[in-house]
Parts: sequence; structure tokens; C-alpha cells
Amino acid sequence: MDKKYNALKLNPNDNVAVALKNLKSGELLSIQGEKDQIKVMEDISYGHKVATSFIKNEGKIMKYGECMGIATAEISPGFHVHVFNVRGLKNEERDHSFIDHVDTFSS
Amino acid sequence: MQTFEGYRRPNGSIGVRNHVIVMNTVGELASFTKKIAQLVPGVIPVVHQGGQAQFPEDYKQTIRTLKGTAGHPNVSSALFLGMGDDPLAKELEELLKDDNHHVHAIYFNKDKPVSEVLKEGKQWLEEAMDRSKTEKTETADVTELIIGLECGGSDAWSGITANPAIGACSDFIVRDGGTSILAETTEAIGAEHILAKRAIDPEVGKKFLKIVKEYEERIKDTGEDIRSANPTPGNMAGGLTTLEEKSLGCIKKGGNSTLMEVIDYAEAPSKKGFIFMDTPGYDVESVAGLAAGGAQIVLFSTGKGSPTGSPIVPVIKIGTNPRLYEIMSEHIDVNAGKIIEGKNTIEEIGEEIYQKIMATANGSMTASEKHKNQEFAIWRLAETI
Amino acid sequence: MDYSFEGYLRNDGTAGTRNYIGVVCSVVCSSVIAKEISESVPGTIPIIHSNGCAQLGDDFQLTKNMLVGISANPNLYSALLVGLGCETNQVSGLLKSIPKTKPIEGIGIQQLAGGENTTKKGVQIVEQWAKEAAVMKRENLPLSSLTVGIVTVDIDEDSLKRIVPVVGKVIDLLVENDATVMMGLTDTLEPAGLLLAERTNSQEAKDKLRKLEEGLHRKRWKEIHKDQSAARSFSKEEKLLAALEAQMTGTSPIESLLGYNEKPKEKGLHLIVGTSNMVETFSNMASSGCNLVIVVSSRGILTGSVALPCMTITPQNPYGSFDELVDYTISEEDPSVQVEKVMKELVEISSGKQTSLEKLELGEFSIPHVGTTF
Repeated sequence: MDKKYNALKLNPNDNVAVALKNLKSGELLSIQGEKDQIKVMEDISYGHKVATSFIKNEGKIMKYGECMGIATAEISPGFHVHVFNVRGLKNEERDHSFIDHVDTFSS
Repeated sequence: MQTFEGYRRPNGSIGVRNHVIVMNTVGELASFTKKIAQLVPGVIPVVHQGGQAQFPEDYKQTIRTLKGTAGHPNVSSALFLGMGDDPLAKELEELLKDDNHHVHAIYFNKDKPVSEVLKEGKQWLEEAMDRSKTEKTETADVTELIIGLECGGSDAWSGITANPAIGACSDFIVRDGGTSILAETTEAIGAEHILAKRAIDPEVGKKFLKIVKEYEERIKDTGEDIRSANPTPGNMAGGLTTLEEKSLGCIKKGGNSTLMEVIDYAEAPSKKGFIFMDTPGYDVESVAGLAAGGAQIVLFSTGKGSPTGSPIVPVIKIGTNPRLYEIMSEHIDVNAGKIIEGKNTIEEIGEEIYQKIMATANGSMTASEKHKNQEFAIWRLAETI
Repeated sequence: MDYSFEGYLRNDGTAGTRNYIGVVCSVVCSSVIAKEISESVPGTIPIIHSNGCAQLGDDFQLTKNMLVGISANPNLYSALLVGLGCETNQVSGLLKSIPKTKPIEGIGIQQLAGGENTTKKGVQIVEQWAKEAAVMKRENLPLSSLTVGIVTVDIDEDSLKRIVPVVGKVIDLLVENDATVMMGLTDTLEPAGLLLAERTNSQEAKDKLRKLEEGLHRKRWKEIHKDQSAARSFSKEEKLLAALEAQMTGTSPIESLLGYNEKPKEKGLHLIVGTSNMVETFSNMASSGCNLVIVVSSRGILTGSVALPCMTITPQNPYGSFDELVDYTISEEDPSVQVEKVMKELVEISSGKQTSLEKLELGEFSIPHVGTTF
């Protein structure tokens, strides 16, 4: 059975989905397994990311259920998520999470 | 529980193939090794240019790789060709005989004409082939399988379709009591903290961080910086935004299971479950390391299409996009491009890969086996002396 | 005596002692297809190796240069480059770097949508070249058209003492006749750095050779934050043996010390870097333009170069086990008589006579690593 959708969410906890085809501004986002339909707010090329929920400035971008970057501006659902509104993690942001985790282990 | 018919070896391991192989211990004998293999149909030559004039780190790695290859559960018998009183051939023969493998070493030396050696080798291989045909299979289950995870010739879809599907499959295998080994240390740079968090204990997590850091330093020594060079402009055009995202796309082949152990190149895991092996991203060297570590089957995602395989291990190719499957189906076993077309979910393709693994374990040939893609290379750590 | 040989004169003025068609893989991923193409057409040789991708810096450059060098080797009538498509070592880059003095083409597995198409296309190209190559005739050429590599493999003091009086003279004779000679500077010869430094007028070579005296230097990458270059000092025995081996270069001045894939700028005697992996050393000689190699050994060797005839010289030994691998055995005869015999053999091999290793089809190609893969 074919399930028609135009975007893919790699993990239920993600706040972005990957466009599976070139998305046009105005069309509805249909994400596999999700009932809510979000309106695409700008043209987005396939393979690129679209926000599926409101992401605040300095908020985490979640893909694969992991934090893949930090928002550098507010991003509303349906908007393109890429280098102009996302930065990579700073060293201290990355390392802390593991050290905290290790500490939990040792305690 | 999923089962397959495999070959039980005297040391207790189980193989999904029953190969007879011939290997050189020193580079000088590579040509002869191929020549002897040609004399007996079905024999697979495994040749390399290491084994001599190497620093200890390379020598040890060569021994580990050759031993793991010759003593692999997919190998019924292995013949070594050595030179004079070749210490490497002797050591390998003894190590493997201690572990009850059917191996033999023959030597080129001054009191034996070359043609004699050729005759002796041919005879041993013929007997080994006959012997392999009498070996019976027995039923085994997925708890005895070790699956290697690899990607090569990646494209913008790799991290979206094939790799997450391999990850789903890896999680199924681990759930069912089997083992999967993720490799390619280079490709974890940038997301190492994420994988480290999944470690079973801090020691395993720290070891993983250590090998990633070492790899990064080695690259820096050549004047390159992975962190600042990635994602590349091409990656960005394809939709990748950060280094974390790019590396996540690679390491998601390992799914979401707990990281049980971090092992050296060509080392066998001592635990079941999800494992990481320190290998380069260079496909053929990485696959050779995974195989030598005991993986009976390797999963290999490819976006641009890569035909490579292994001399002893079936490699299952998972294509990332529909077009690749259309134009290069001769090299692809599973089409994860169906995820893009909305025909299947990631989990469904994960399940399809799982079924492909079981079919392959039962003897079904993979694309790389059909095309005799038997590439082999050992990861080098120093210049030749 | 007047020496000449029958060789294949190439457009760029170099000469081949063989007339092969090379099928060169750009990366290990296309090696099986390259081998298949080569196996389908007689007269071709597979130039396959395990490098070509996930390499950086000098290590990548060396792989590329070696493949450019061997494709340009005069023993190759033409060369077909077979790539995958996504490798670091792009076929397009190789094509740009190989001089356009002979037929060179490149094909790729991804571009042709699979191995089957690539094999078909490759065989088509190579078959056409095989027809062209078959009608080429050897012509009489002076020794100045020869570039001879010379390397020792597994040699002891006793063998050297018997071989040096003959081979040293052969080298002198080759140089006198305007041939180019490259002696492999491997770990057994390196301890003679100071002695060899005295023989050269090139300040650059002098400096490099003197430095060799300090000990064996090779790069290591496993341990980080350490001196990458590992040094080991040479023993007295190693130095003595090296001094003896140095005599094999004869008495001519050393023009230069060539690095990997470096072509000599003038005729005469040169040294060229090598490793104790003979396949790597032969391959480097092939990529630096040699069209013949003399191998000197106590025992005879079990592989040659896939592209160059390797003429093996050993001393007489009581075992005779490797006789079928040897081309000339040093006897008790007067050295000057033997020099002529070696020269005759060398001329015959250059003119097409198969070496013992060629008869047994024993030949390899391999590229050294000067960095680790990623």
C-alpha cells in the first residue's frame, strides 16, 4: 500500500522534517505518521529541512531524535531550516552533555 | 527467533559461507598466491602488500587482519604462502591451529623448487575443496550473527533513507540478541558525544571519544581540519546544515541501541549487542577490518553506487534513492529509495534488510558476490621500511 | 662494443621495451572491473592497487602521481583509466595530468551506470588499441633510449662480493653508453649515505644522503603528539653491507637523488627512493620512467613488475631451487667476460625476450603509503 507524503520525520521527537520532493510555498506538509498538516511557508528543495513546530531563538534543532544544531533566530512551522537560521554546537555545548552523563554513571 | 543454516566450526563459531582461501603473508608472494588460486576452481585468493618491512603497529595489525580472515567462520580452510622461514606464516599457522582451524602454511625456500611448492599448494587446496563439500550445515539463530555496518559513495539521501533503515535493522538484530558493529571513526567526528552518551558505562564512552579524537588529530597532522571543512558546500546544497547533522547521518546506521564495546581494527568483539570498531572511512579497508573481526555479513549503504565487496563476507548493498536502483540494480540488493517514494517506512525497509540478512545467511548470493567483488586491503599506520 | 636494442619508439622520444596496453584503476573500488577488462583482451596489463580514496595531502598526491607516471611509461602503448566516480582520485584529474603523447581514455562505473556497462565499454576501447598496437614494429635504438632500474633484494655479503665486480661494470658501461640508470635507495643501501654523498656534485643530493647516515627515518601515524618520524640507527654490519652494495653502482658520478615518481632530468646514474617492499620499489621505478629493471639477489625473487621486465641476477648457489626464476647466474668466469654476457642478456630482454618472471606471469603493482587513510 502506497502512503503518499512529501516529508519525512526521522524521529517522533524531531522538530524538523526532511522534504522528499521540492516543496512549494502554500502547499500542505504531509508527514508520514502525523495527522497534523502544516502549511509550507516558502519553497524548500528536496533533502532540505522544514520546521514542524515553533523553534525559539537558541532552541535546539532536533533530527534523528538528537540535537543537530542551535537556532539563531525564531523559526515558525513550515519555514526552511538551514545555515541561515541554524549554527552547529559549540565545543562546550557538546562536551558537557557527556561529562554530565558520565558523572551520573559514577555516582 | 529467526534462524539460518550455517557451518559450525570446531571453535564453536558459525559461518554463512564455506570458502577455501589462499593468502600471502608477504607482498612478494601476491602474484604466486593468485596463480595457485587459479589452479583450483572455487578457491579465493586474498592478497595484500603488507607483512614485511613494517613497524610493530602495522605488523600487529596485519597479523590480526590475516588471522581474523583465515580463521573467519565463513572460511572452511585457509592456506598461507610464506617466504623462507617466514615468522608471520608460522605464527599465523600456530595461532589458528590452536583454535582448531583447518589451516596450512607452505614455504618457498632454498631446498624446494618453485614448481614443487606450486604442486604442494595445489594438492592441499584440492583436498580442502573436497573437504569443504562434505561439511554439513546446522540450524543457528540470529544471536550468533555479527553484522558489520558500512557506508560508501554516499549522497544527500544516505542519511535520510538507507542509513536510518540500516539503523532500524541494527536495532532489530540487537533486540533479538545478535551483534552489530558500526565502523568508520572518521565519520563520527562531530557527533561523537551523541554516540558516547549511549555507552554502557563511562569507560566505553571515554574509549570511543578517545579514538575519535586520535583520528581527528591524525587528520590535522596532514593540515586538514574535518570540523571546519564540513559540511562541504556540496553537502550544504544537498540540505545538510551542521557537522553534527552530517555525522549523525552516518552513525545512525547504528540505530539507537546501547554501545556495549569499542574495539580495535580487525579485533573480535567480546560482547554481544551494538559495538563500535575503530576503522578508517575507506570502504575496502573498513570492510576488511569488520570481516576480520568476525562479522559474517556486512551491510553497506550507497548513494552513488559502489560495487565493492569482500573475499570472504557477503556484502549487502542498500541503495539510498530510487534512481540508483533503476540504473545500477546489478550492484544493489535492497532499495531504500522506496522511502522517498512513500512506498515504505524506514522501519519497513529495516525489516526488509533483516530478511535479506537471513536469506543471505541461508546462502542467497548478494550482488557483490555474483560479480566476484572480492576487494581486500589492510589499514596502514606507518610507512613501509 | 657497440650496443643497441630493438624497442618501440614513442612520440615523446622515449622507448618501450614492451608494448602493453595498461588498464589502470583510479581507486580500489574499480579494481575488479579494471582486472576484468584486462583479462578479456590479450596484450593488456592490469595496473591495480588498493589506494585512491580517503587519502589526504602528500599521500593522495603520491597515489595520483604514481598512476600518472605509470600511464606515461614508455612500455605502455596506451592506457585506459577506469574509475568509480565518487573517489578522491578523479579520472578527470588523472587525464589532465597525463601527457597527451599516446592514446589515453577514461571511463567511470557511476557515469556508465554499472560494472557491466563499464566492462563492455572498456573492452571495446582496449580491443581497438590492441589492433593498433599489434601492427607496431620494434626498431633499432641506441642504449641511450634505456632507463634501467637496479635494486637489491634479500642479499648477503658473500653474494654481493661475487656480484659487485660484474654488475658494477655493467652499470658503468650503461652510463658510458648514455643510458639512464636508477639505483634503488632502499633500507639496505641507506646506511652508505656518506659514501654515496661523496659521489655526487648535486648539493641537494649530498645533503639528503648525508642525513641518511643518521639512521632509518620513516613516517608513523598511529601515535599522535609524538615525533612522526621514527629513527633507528644503523648497525656496523648494516653499514658494511651497504658500503659493499654501494659498489654495485659502479664508478660514475651520481647525478641526483630522485624522490617518489620523480623523473631524472639528465642521463647518467641516479639514486631513487625505495622501500624494502620490492613491489613498491618496482612500481616507483615504473612511474619514474624505467623501461627495464635489474634485480640483484642471493636467491631469486617471486614477483616482478607488471609493466617492466625484471632481469634477475644471482650468484651460483648449491640449491638451484629458484633457478627457474633467474635470468643470469654469476659464475667463476672472468668478470669482464661476464659483463658482456649480462649486457647481451639485457639487450635481448630489452628487445623482447621474456624474463623468467615474465614467463611465469609473475608481476605486481603497488603504491606506497606516506600517510594513513581516512
